[in-house]
Amino acid sequence: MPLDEYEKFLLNQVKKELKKTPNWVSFKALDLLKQITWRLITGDITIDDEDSIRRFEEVALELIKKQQNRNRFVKHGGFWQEGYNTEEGVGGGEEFFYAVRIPTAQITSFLSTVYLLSPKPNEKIKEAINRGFRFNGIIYISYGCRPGIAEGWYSSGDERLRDLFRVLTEETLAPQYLSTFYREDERLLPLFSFIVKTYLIYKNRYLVNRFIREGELPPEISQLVKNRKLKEFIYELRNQSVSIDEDKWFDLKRLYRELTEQFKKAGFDPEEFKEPDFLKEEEKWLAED
Amino acid sequence: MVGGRLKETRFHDVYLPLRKDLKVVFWAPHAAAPKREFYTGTIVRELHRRVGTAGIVAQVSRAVADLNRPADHTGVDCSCPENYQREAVEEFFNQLKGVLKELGVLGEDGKVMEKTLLFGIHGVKDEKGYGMILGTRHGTLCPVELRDRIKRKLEVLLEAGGIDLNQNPIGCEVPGYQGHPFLEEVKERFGEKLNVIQLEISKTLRTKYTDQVITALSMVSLAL
Repeated sequence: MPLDEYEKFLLNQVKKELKKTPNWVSFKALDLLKQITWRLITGDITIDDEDSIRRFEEVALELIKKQQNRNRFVKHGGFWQEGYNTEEGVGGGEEFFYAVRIPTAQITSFLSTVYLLSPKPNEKIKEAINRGFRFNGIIYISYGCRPGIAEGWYSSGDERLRDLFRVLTEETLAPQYLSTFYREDERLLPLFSFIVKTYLIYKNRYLVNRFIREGELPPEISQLVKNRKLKEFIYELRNQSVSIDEDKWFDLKRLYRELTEQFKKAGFDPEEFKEPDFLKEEEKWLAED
Repeated sequence: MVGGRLKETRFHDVYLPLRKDLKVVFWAPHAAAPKREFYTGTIVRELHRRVGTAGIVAQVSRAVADLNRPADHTGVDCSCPENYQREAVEEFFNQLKGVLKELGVLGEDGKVMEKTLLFGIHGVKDEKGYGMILGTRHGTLCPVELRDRIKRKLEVLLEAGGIDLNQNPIGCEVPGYQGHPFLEEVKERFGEKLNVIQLEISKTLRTKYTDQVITALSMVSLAL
């Protein structure tokens, strides 16, 4: 299906915006890129005729021109974003984190979507995506923002990740085992290991999902991508993400059950640590009255 | 979560504890550019957000005032006023005192009454061949048993996070990374019950495995 007038307008606009700024990507361009990526992912825009292939390639190549090679702060593959490096960096803050990471993820998402959906994938784009993936700064997308200045910058996703850690350590049986009495117990070590593994698995699933849907990048992507072909890898991510329900991205009951099993395996008796059900206790007292 | 618990001072960002049962303070003295140790500040901040531990993050570069050195240290390489180093170190002591007070471990005599751990988070080059290095000046700053227990936990936790310990081993008391003598002054000021560990984290772990490092340290502080 050829591009309609509005889609052509969007692509022209983003190209114009990119040309305006020599070495960095403006907010407006980023916003337009995100819109286009979303349309591509949802299938609103398809790249199937010569004209659309040419137009998308032009935008992609314009972006690649801005990709960093090497300088004092950015090792490779990153992109600079408007504003952050001058405004937020006052007082030795983490300015380069702001400046590079998020746009890099968004741009890599755009490039990879174009690359995957194009019937004639351009090798230059593939190289750029690989360089973007390898960029160290985006490995850890959730953090690195100086609190107080840009607190609102955090998306709900990052809070969800912190919630996940809290759930694992506070809402399941863990607190009882982490109580002072048992802290020196060597039997806890496999349990710790289980908690860390569970956290990382759920976190990855969530971030992969977000990458596919919102155009941000999962943190371990550079390690995973090393020995696989890019195309296969991203298709796999796409397939994985289909099964994830945004609202039920972790199952607390299942986690609780798994953790209890781990406690048993470690040689503890979970019953011993069960906290009394205060509501039931209260009902009992009321009944006695 | 951080709102209200962050205190910004002249030389530091101080994260007052959200959980007073966790008797641990994370400290990143070289977190500010230039010459910063990348991600050390991020690690301390994120630990505060995740588990509520107290944290002190330097907001002054070591080129201006090195917070891991005594007040009379003259090795800074910029032409800033002479008293900067003294003022910064004095402020560090005051802020640490404030944090310990918040944790409810500081006695009237200014000494720590309950066992508390000060974790100095630093960065080390990959070339040293270690993933992490724990330094206690051979047990002067912290009992060797506690250090070894933390080391064992870190090994298990990092391995669970997918880190190859053969390539990134955890070492103890590696020459040059046992902890600066200044830390003895810190311990002296706050008493025997303040244990101090200098934790050096390699660049690979800080940059590629930041989350794993934070998760491991979170678990360690929950089960200290």
